[in-house]
Amino acid sequence: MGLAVFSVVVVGLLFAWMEIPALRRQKRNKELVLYLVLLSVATALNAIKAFDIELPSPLLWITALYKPVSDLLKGWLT
Amino acid sequence: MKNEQIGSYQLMVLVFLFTVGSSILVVPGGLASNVQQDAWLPVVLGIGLTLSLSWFYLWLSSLFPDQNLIDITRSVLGKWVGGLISLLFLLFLLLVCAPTVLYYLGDFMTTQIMPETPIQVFHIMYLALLVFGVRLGLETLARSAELLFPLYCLLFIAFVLFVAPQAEGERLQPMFEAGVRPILSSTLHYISFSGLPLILFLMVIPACKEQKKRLRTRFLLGNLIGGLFLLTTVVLCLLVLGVDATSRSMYPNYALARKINIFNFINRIEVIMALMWFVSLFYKLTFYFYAGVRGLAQMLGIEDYRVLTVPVGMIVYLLSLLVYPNPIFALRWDATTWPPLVLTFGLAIPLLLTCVALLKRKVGNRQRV
Repeated sequence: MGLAVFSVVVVGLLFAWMEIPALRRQKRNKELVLYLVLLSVATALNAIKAFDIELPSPLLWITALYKPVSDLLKGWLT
Repeated sequence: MKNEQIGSYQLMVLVFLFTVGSSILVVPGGLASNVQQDAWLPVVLGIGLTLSLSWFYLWLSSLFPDQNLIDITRSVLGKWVGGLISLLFLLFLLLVCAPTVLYYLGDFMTTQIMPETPIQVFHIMYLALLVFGVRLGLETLARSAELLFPLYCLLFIAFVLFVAPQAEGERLQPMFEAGVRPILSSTLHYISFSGLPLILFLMVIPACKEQKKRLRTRFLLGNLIGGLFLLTTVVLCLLVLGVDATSRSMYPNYALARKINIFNFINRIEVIMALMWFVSLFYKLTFYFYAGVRGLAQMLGIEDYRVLTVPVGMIVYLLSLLVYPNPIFALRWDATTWPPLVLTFGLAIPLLLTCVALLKRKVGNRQRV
């Protein structure tokens, strides 16, 4: 488990190391900020997953949200 | 970035691969369990509906030349409402479509081909390839698809010829037993995989600068060929495996490839046949991802979408492991929630856009007079 989290963070840092120097050199600050935010979010989420913490599937929410519509459709078609 | 161009032939190949996509693995089983030996009938209906849907998308796109879906939505519905709808569309592509297709690939590999390898390995390998491809850009993807297209057709023809000797005609009988409602729901199942997701080609069409008429015919042709491939697959599954085996197995197509046996000499070549599915799944996944990332960059006001590929790819990786908690959920999702969801994005929103755009034009004309 510790190893998994460690490797996720290492991979995140590796990507940052690969991309950030070029962005800084070209002074694309907006993209740099967005990249950092997204990469940290992605790494953090993957690290949480690596900690064996159960994350909910977004499809569960969509299923709940669409329940009236899918029931209606089911009623028509079966 | 703005200057990316693809030819209409390349667009045709892409549409073809996208239409076949994951449907070739998923559709036969679902249809056979729904309408038994009449499973080919919804496919025929579905091809017709898919063609008319594509025609509608092409028409919508021709109303706004050189604008992609995000541009259209924002110019028609205004900055806020249009922005919100575009954002929902992007979230749909990146958080629902892409991870579920990736899940199908991983599930296929782990349950059918390499059961002892962890599913994460396939997801990472596939995503690495995907991110690499998307970073190289649309032109490279289109050219690679163009290269793979003959190989794909060759494999498919070989597949059909090798399996055909085992076909038995009476497995299709009795015909026309299914009721109207099951057939309609199966048709919906079919177009929810092969037809409605084509909406994302509104992100790609502006890159094709050729004559509109030729673009339209090629687009529809790609669609039609894809549909015919799927029809052939479904019919072969029914003829060779029969209804029971088709509806019971998760990937009937692969079970079909296993049956290949020529003179007891050429057999167990199913993995070579599986190459086809890797190719079409790859392009389906890539285009979900490409359209999503491209649109996201546009929404955020970034010129180069490449910056976003790696972080978004990591999120897609995570979600691909999460989306379906178990295979039963996957089946239920595909049957109940996926069709209305994709109907929202593939039919309701384009219709809304068309109505508002036409109304606006009418009002605009009247004011000018």
